[in-house]
Amino acid sequence: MRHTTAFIFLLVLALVKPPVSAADEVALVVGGGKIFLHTPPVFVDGSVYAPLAALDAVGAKCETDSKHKRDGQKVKITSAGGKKFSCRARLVGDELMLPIRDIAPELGAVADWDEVSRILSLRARIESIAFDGSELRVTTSYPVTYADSWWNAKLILDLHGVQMPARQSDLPIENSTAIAIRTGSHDNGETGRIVLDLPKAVEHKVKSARKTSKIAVSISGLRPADLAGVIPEGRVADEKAPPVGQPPQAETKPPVIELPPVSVTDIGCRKHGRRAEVRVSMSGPAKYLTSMTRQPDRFVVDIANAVLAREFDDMPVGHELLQGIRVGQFAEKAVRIVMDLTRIAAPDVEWDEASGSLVISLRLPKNAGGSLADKIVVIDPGHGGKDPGAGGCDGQWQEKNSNLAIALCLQKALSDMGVCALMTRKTDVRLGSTKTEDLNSRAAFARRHSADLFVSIHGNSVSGPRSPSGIETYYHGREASSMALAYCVHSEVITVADLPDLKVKSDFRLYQTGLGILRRVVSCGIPAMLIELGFVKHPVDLAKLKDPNFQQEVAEAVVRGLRTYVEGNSSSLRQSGNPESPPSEPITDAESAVEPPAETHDAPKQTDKPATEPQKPTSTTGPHRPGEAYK
Amino acid sequence: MKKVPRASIIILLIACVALGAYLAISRQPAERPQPPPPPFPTPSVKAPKKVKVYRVAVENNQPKLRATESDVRPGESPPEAALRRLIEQGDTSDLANPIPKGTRLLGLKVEDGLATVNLSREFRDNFSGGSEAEGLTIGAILRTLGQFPEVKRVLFLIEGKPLDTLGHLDLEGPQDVGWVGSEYGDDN
Repeated sequence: MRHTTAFIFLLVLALVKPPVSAADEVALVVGGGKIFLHTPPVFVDGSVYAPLAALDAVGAKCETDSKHKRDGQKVKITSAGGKKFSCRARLVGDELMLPIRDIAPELGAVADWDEVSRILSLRARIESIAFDGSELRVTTSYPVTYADSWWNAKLILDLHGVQMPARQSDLPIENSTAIAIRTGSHDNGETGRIVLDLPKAVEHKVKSARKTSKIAVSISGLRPADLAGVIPEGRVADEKAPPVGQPPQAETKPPVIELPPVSVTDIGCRKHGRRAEVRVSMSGPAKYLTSMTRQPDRFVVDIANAVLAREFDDMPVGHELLQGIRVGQFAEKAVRIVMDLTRIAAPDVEWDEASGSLVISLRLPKNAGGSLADKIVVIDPGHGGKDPGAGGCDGQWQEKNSNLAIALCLQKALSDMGVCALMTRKTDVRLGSTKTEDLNSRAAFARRHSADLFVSIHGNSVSGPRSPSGIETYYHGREASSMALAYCVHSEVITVADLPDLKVKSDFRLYQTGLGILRRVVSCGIPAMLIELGFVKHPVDLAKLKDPNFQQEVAEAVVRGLRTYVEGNSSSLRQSGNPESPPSEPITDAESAVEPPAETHDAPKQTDKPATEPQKPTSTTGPHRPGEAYK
Repeated sequence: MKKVPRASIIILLIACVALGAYLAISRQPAERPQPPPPPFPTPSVKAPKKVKVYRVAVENNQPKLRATESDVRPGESPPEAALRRLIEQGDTSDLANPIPKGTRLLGLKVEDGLATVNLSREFRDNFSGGSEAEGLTIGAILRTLGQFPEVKRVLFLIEGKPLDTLGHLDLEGPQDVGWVGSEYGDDN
């Protein structure tokens, strides 16, 4: 009898709660970007369920008995704003999940469910905006990240993953000055924007942490007349008002001594046969950041602490590599130079002391031109034999396995195209008795076979319980051809991988002498790159690395990247020759629009214009990929 | 002689002890000399010296080196204390120890700006990480020792013999502590 009761009970349970399948998985976007959870959120019974870990993203905490998990278990939650409430969790697999959309209001979040893309977006609410002439303060319902920038004497604050009400009158704004505060949103509503229309360009300083619910930006140099909306004549430009308001909280770092900005006085371009040379005349040397974008192909140099001495018209060039040059003051003290390319080029950037100019030399990358089928490509699966590389989070997988599996797919794909594709190792072996010997013999192999290109395949890891996730690609130092190669391959891989884009980087950012393998191969004159195809310590990345479909897709993407490097854009869309109107970006799979924005605090940021500002071509330079650190 | 009950003696004894104790306690403050106003902090209560120890934090999907503070124990030089705490500390939920498990510090010598760090073989043999992990392991040691002005470069030894690499980076010869990986910086 007891058995029968139990059976009926189980039957009822099974009928009421059908098992959740992978097809019910949905994406959760918080802070403007998709968040990665060990157990993905699912859509069941008209509601979105997310694991307890998702509460972290909205600054909430929870208490529950995680040892004895059961369906309908009570979870006590405290929101970032201190609101306490409880909620019944659902047991999906062996994970306790919360109906995150239903409890969003309690968490201080605005939920936006898109049935078609199956994305649930949670956005923080703005609690208040206050401006008193010396400080702009914004409070949000939970901690968010944000970016500050300038555009024509306007202070722009972009709040990631923050909901802006459709009508500004719905916002609690306290403004004791005559200076206008405008609000809007962009990035499909994922980013809330606050614009302060100041009467002149003044100093501003972010006083709050990079992720906070209490954002504070101090503004100095505004006089009472400015605040009253009167613009006096004959104002002394360098006059500074004493700092008003509270002192910066917990200032532990020494104050940054700001140098006067350098002035960009002239920009010229010369064609030297197949090479194009752009000269940027400046009043002195300045730090700069370089980046490349693909489709459209652009090389971007952002000069820090620099101002334009005059307006520069867009310059059509018409070189076989360089279509034209566009220049703009894209932040208060940052000049952006955009070179529209006909194909990916190898850029060398150097400061020429004699002429006082930054010289950007663009040439066809080394061993590019012709057909990929005529090239010799050396594929280097990292580690092997008794050097397993990084250990997977499942306690079993070893990095060397996926390196080899992907390399074999790549070799097959290249061989099928008629490319001479050689492997530094084809089996599970180490190539020397020590790790240094191993690195030496890989480089020697590439030199011995007169490789045209060198592609090293690796998996990534970071010590500790919290692993990052994503794909990054390295080139050596400032080697221009290797940089072009890395951008070509990385941009193709990232479109198929569905993992966070950790960008293309110089290996000097990893270590002062760079990566041992790349240093050796590049010193033989061979363009080389190393791709880290995910973190073996991250469950999502590891699952992909083990998946033969992923291995194959990545290998095919690498082939497309190599082909673009060698053959240019013959197979893809060529951009129109008019740099005045940036052409619409070709749509690729990568445009999932949920990737978190690339942002570095110390670097000039990619800034879209305020929603209401007139369009300027220099501000729409497409995805900004920080390439190298300031030199 | 009249026999005194034993119980009375005990009660009397207890009473005497209690009275004595009361007198002792009540008179004590009066007997204690007034402490002189402290003119300067006494040397014996010197605050323990703090050193910075760099560990790995993952924030916004990016690994960073974060400084934590640790104490110097008696008999330790500050660089030795910092390096020992770096090697010893376990992982917390926020911060990870990037030094391979089982690593022991066999010796540390600082001379003419060069810190020679002699580590046990576990440092090399138990390292199982990617290039980022290697950058963080080496970066944590360079940063931790780089906080002391007397250390300009670091030479890594494994049981007395030079270390060449952990698999990705060239580590032979003295390594400059002035290098700050822009990837991992906590102050840039």
